[in-house]
Amino acid sequence: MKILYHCFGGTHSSVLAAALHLRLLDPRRRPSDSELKTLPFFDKRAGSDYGRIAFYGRDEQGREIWILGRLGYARVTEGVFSSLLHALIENGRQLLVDTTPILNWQMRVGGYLSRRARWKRIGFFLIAQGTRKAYPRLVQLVKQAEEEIDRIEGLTVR
Amino acid sequence: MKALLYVDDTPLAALAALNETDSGASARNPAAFDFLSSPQDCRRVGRSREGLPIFALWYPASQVFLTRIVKSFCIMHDIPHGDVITVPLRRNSLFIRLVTWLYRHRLNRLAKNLLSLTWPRAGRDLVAHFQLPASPLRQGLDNRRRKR
Repeated sequence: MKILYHCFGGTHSSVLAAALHLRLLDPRRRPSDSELKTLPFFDKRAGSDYGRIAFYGRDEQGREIWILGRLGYARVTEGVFSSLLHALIENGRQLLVDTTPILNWQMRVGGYLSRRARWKRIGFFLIAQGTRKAYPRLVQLVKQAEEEIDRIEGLTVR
Repeated sequence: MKALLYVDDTPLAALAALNETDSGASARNPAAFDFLSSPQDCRRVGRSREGLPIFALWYPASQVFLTRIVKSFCIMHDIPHGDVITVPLRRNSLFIRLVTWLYRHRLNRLAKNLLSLTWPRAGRDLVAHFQLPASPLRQGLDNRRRKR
């Protein structure tokens, strides 16, 4: 089973969701600035990396966790991945999770300032504020994704 | 190599892919093809003369994005590099640009009718503007030359 978290730039919300999934972040406590800075790929990928997938790690069950920046093409990405899976792979299993619904204005503006305008300090400040504000929703999103994975794999829901 | 994948943001991808199949589908009139009205899809259109399965994928996004997404999919599912070759559509003829414009403005039926009216001339145009890689080896050499 392969899980892909995708967002606009593939460097903020998808990274946070993947890190939460892999327990690199504590779901019970909002992350500090230093914790966010140490996350792989967080606020680091360039705008030109859109459409390019990145491996993030394996969870406890050995599932592969991937991240992707797909600009505004959420439906297109999900459609293409799903059609290619049916066309090219027999018995392949994947789950695509759009992480943009958890975004708030701080994360959007911060993401733009940090990645596009290259005002990294103020951009990161806003992203960190926004992340802490959106954290409970992010935890909920990852929890829902994990329940969905369990459902797909036919396991009993925890 | 496992498959050839024709990508575009219009169903012209499927029409052009059909021209490459061994079944001689290019001789048929596009009016018979239901996919020409479909806004987005991925379907197997047949086999090439060399026996490779040919797929067409069209979704409303740029060819660069679609090609990258296909590549990302292959990486994620451990499909070896070069097993799926994406073939983007080239738009050098005015006619193809016109049909594309119609598709992009969701005038799919009009575009389909125009293709039917101008067939088989349009079919020849489509074939001419697709460049199938000669072989993976040749492609690798070309890439190396470009890098130099």
